[in-house]
Order: sequence, then C-alpha cells, then structure tokens
Amino acid sequence: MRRLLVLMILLTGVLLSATTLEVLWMGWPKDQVMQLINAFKEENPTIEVEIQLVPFGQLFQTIEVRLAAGDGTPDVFIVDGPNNASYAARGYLLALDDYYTDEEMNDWFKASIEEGSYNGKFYSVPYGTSSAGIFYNKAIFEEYGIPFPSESIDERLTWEEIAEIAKKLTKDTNNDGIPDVWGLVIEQIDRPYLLFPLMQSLGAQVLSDDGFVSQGYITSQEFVQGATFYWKLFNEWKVSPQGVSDSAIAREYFGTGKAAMMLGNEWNLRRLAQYPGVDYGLTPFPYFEGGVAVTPTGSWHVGINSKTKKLDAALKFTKFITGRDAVVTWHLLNGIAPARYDVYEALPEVFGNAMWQLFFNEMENTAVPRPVTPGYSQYELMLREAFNSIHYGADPKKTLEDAAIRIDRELRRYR
Amino acid sequence: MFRNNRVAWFFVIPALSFLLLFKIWPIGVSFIESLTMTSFTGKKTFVGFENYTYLFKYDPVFWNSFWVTIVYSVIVNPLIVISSLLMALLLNGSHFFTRFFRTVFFLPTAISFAVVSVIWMIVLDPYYGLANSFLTLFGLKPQPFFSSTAQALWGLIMLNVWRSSGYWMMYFLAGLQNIPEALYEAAEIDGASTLQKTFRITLPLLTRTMSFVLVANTAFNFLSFAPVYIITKGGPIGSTNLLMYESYKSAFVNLDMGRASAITSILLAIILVFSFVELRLTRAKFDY
Repeated sequence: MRRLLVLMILLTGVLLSATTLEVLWMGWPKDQVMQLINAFKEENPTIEVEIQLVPFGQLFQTIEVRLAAGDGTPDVFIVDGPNNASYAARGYLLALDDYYTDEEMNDWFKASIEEGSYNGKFYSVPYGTSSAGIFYNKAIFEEYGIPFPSESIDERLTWEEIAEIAKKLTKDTNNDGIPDVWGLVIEQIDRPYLLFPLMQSLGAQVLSDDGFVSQGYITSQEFVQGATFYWKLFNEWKVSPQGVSDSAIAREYFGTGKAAMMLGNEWNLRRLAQYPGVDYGLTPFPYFEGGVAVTPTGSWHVGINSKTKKLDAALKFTKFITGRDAVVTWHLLNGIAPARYDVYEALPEVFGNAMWQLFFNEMENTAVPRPVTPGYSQYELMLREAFNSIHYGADPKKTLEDAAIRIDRELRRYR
Repeated sequence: MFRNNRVAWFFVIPALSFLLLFKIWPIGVSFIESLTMTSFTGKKTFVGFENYTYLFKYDPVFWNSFWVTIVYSVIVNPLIVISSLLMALLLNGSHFFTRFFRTVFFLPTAISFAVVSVIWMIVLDPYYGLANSFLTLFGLKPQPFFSSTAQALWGLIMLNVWRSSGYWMMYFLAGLQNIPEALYEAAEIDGASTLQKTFRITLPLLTRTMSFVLVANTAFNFLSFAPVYIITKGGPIGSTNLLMYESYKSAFVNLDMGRASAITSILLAIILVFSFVELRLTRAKFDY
C-alpha cells in the first residue's frame, strides 16, 4: 500500500516536471503537422506539446481572443506576416533580438526579417514566404501565334506589353458576347497583396512610414495611376473577367484553358498539378515602363507570447520548427515556400527547376514586404473593397479618396 | 383565467427565464457595448452616444447600408408574403398533384442559406453560369447578375424569395385549414363567387397568420447575412451592403465592437418600428 503511494507521488512529480507547451497553429492537415510535432518530441522528451489547429477562416479571431485573455498562453503561435505589427504593438509578442545571433539572422530573406520586425525589434520568426509571377498557357499562345514571353528575370515584360498580349488573346470564338478565352486572370482579384507591386513599380508608397496615414499615399498620383491601369483591365480593354471571387476559381479559368495568362502565387506550381492538361510557362512579375521591378512577398511567421511562463521550451520549439530540417520536411509535406536560404540549397531536386529559381531570385532581389502597421487588417479590408469597386467600374481616384478617409479613421485608433 | 396569479407565474417562469437569459440580456449587453469605444489595446472607455453620432453624421457607408437594407426589405417582404400566400391558396387541396407540389415548393427550406447562396452564385455566374447559358440559347443578352450594381440586389431578393416562400406557405396552409368549411358552404348557398369567397372569407380569417408571417419574415430578412457574405461581400460598389454585413465587418475584421453594436442596436430599433406598424395593420378587426 505504502509502496503504491510512493510510486504515485513519484509519478506525479515526473509528470509535473514535464513542461506542456501550448501552441496555436494554422489549420493545416493534422497528420502533416503531427509529423513535425513527433520529431520535436523525439528530440525533446521532457516537453509535451499541446497543439491547436484552427482553420484559416477562424484563425485570426481565435488568436485575438486567446491573446486578449493575457494569461501567457498560447506560448507559441503562428503569425501571419502582416499582422506582426499589430501583435507587437499591443505587446503580445516577445522581442527576440536577445535570442538570435546575427549568424542565425542571416538564414532568412531580408524581406522576411523586415516583415517579422516592428519598431526596430525582431518579433516573429520567418516560417514561410511567397512570391508571384505570370503563368501563361503555351497552347493558347501557340494557337494565336504570339511568341512566348521570356522566362528569364532579365527580360521582364512591362505591364504595357502584358496588356497588349492580353488584348490579342481575349477571344470570343462563338460570338455570344462572352469571351471564351480571357487574356489575363488575376488569382486574388482584389487583394492588395498582389496589387501593391503595380503602384510600387510606379514609385508609389502605399502607407506612411509610421503606418497610420493612408491619405496622400493611396491617393497619390502614382497610386491612382496604377489603380487606373488595373481599372482598364476590366472596364476598358476587358481582358480580365470580373467577379472572380476565389483563387480556386481563377485557377479553374487558367487550368481549363479559359485564360491565357494568370497572375498568381508560387503555390500554383503545386496546385496546377490538378490540371494536367495545361502546359504552362512562367514569366516574371511585370513592371511599368520606366519604373522599378517589385514583387509581393511574405507569409507565415512564428511568435512567442510575451507573457509565456515556459520561455525555454517555447524557444526550443520555435527554433526547431523554423529550423532547416523541420522546414525541409514541411515543404515536402505542404509546399509552402521556405523563408530560409539553406532549405533551397538542401532540396536541389525541387528548387533546381527554372520556375523555382525565378521565384527565389525575386524573393532575394525585388521582393517588397507589405507595409508595417498595427491596423493592417482594417487597412487591407478597406483597400480591398476599394479595389473590388474599382474593378467593377468605380472611378479609381474617387474610390481611393473615400477609402483613405475611412482607413485613416480606423488607423487613428492605433496611435 | 387563473384564480391564483402566482400559479400562472410558475408556468411562465421557465420559458421567461430562458428568454431573459439568452435574448434580453445579450441585447442589453450589446447596447452597453455600443456606448463604449475599445482602443486596440483592449481598454474600454465609455463614450455615450458618440458611436451613434459618428454613424449618423459622418459615415456615408452606414447611410448607404441603411438605405440598401430598407429598399431590400420593402421589396422582399411583400414579395415573399404574397408569393407564399398565393402558393398556399393554390395548393390547399388534397389532390395528389397539390400535395406533390406542396412538397416541391417546400424543399428549398431544407437547404441552408449558405448552400443556397453558393448554388445561386454558380448558376448566376455572368460568364459561365447556367442562367446565362439559358439566356444565350434563346438569343437573349447575357446578364451581369451579381456583377452589376443594378442587378445584384435583385439577385439577393430573388434568392430569398425562392428559398423562403415554401416555408411561409406552410404557415398559411395551416391558417387556411383552420377556416371552417361551413363558412364556405354558407357563402356558396348565398351565391358567392370564388373571388368573393377569397376576399370576404379566406383573407380576413387569415389575419392572425398573416400577422405572424409578416412580422417574423420582416425581422428575419432584416438580419440577412449569409448571401451577402458568400456571394457579393457587399458589392459591387456597396449595392448589396446590408446592415448586418456592415456590422459583421466592424465586429470581426475591424474589431470595432462599439460601432458594430451600434449598428445592431439601430437594426433592432428599425425592426421594432416595422413590426409595430405591421402588427397594427394586421390587427384582427373581429374576434374569432
């Protein structure tokens, strides 16, 4: 009897000494994530990991609710790049400058580090990143005798040239008033993420440096100029279909031969595999004549709760999950574009092909991260609504000016 | 009635407590919330009616939502009530076909609003949807449907009518079955035509049902959210930006609970006004 009691006390002692790390993660498939968690547990048997996977649609709301509780959990959580500033400004994230050496910082793309920083401090560790380009359907180009656009980063086409090609490739073959082939389809038709590079190529800055003012930035002449080009794609030249509300729908257009070109993200290299019939090529993200080449970038980061009571375990987990081996495994499982240089070197059979090389090049050289502001989600939503209205035909200048007033009112709360 | 009022209370308290706890209390909390402003650090400050003054004086988006919602309600409610009433009048028999069509018309109710929205979004796709294929087959011009500011709201209205009519038809049918046959027989003896029977007997005796259907339907439609969220997202250019969707955006994207609660409180006030007016209009002028 007494021996049983002693045994139980010992067991409880052992159990209590094991730290349980609470992790809030994006709702990726559980069997994929568990592979990484189990690998971590093998290396760190004293750390229990309790991971909560939340689907994308509810993720940000869940993070907000849990962090607002202020009890130090979740200890580690996934951070969508542009929200880094919002969490950091509210004190939810632990500053990580003391825990990362300069050497370790060199592992990541500069744009990713910028995305994970706020006010000069490093807050969230880069986990993934992204890039975009124009995918084109070789068969359609051949059918209408248009030469393939170059796949080389040195021979980037201008937006003017792309517009010309799109005009030539928008065809209504059965004369029913609806084009059967569209020149260009935009994967995320109204998202600022994909459209900022157009304005930035013309030299526009999309938000004030302090991240609180959009008036004068999204209403600047260059920004309106970029937005007008975008407006023309749908309303003047009519080379792009309106109302493509989901990236899967845009992919359907491209994959089934209804669009000659698609402006889309690097994940299409994997997702277009479900359309084996389309033989596609990739040409670099266009720029405006006389302007700068700019590409979008940024994706997930990993952050540590500023109030965590298990800092040691949290750091171990973060460094593991964003470390080379875990990211290699993760890319092979999930396809996310890594933010670490050494992963690209570790998988030459994947990243060696010309298309990945193009994206890698862009991430290193032309990538501009989204603007840093604590009010990013409000800014993005209202700007997205503005782009949506513009693509349906609203006047770009007036729409952006109305949006700027509303955005600034929301951002004012963050000062 | 009850000789002892206290006994009556005991019967009522369970339901009443549920009502208070799950309906009245949240409304109160929401109203208090609308009188505060939350800074992004989570601190709540009491600001009185500032949220409301901002909405009414400086917010053109709110006014656009307000008018869109009013227009939507004024069109959709009569349409639903009249169509469900007509269907009920026509299908109030025990023929095989009347019973068959009753089921058919009721079927859309079995589909959730979200699924209905997705289906309509696909069917009314301006480029490759079924609807436009049909129109072009007969040589008519393809329509922009949800891509056009003029047609998007009508698309939502039709979606709602299609989905809701069958449901309210059932209520009217129940109301119709409560009308004693004897009245019709008496009218026939007096030589009344079908039209006279409908207007002098059926409709007046349906007043109570009409009252319920009208008020419940109006309240429900003011809270329309799923089709906007799934299909139009308030667009194009704000032409379908119903108040409920505007409130949702404030609450869950902008994290501005004050403004969101203010909008829902205003919505509640509008619903109360409309309900009151409708109850007055459909007051039974006789006891039956």
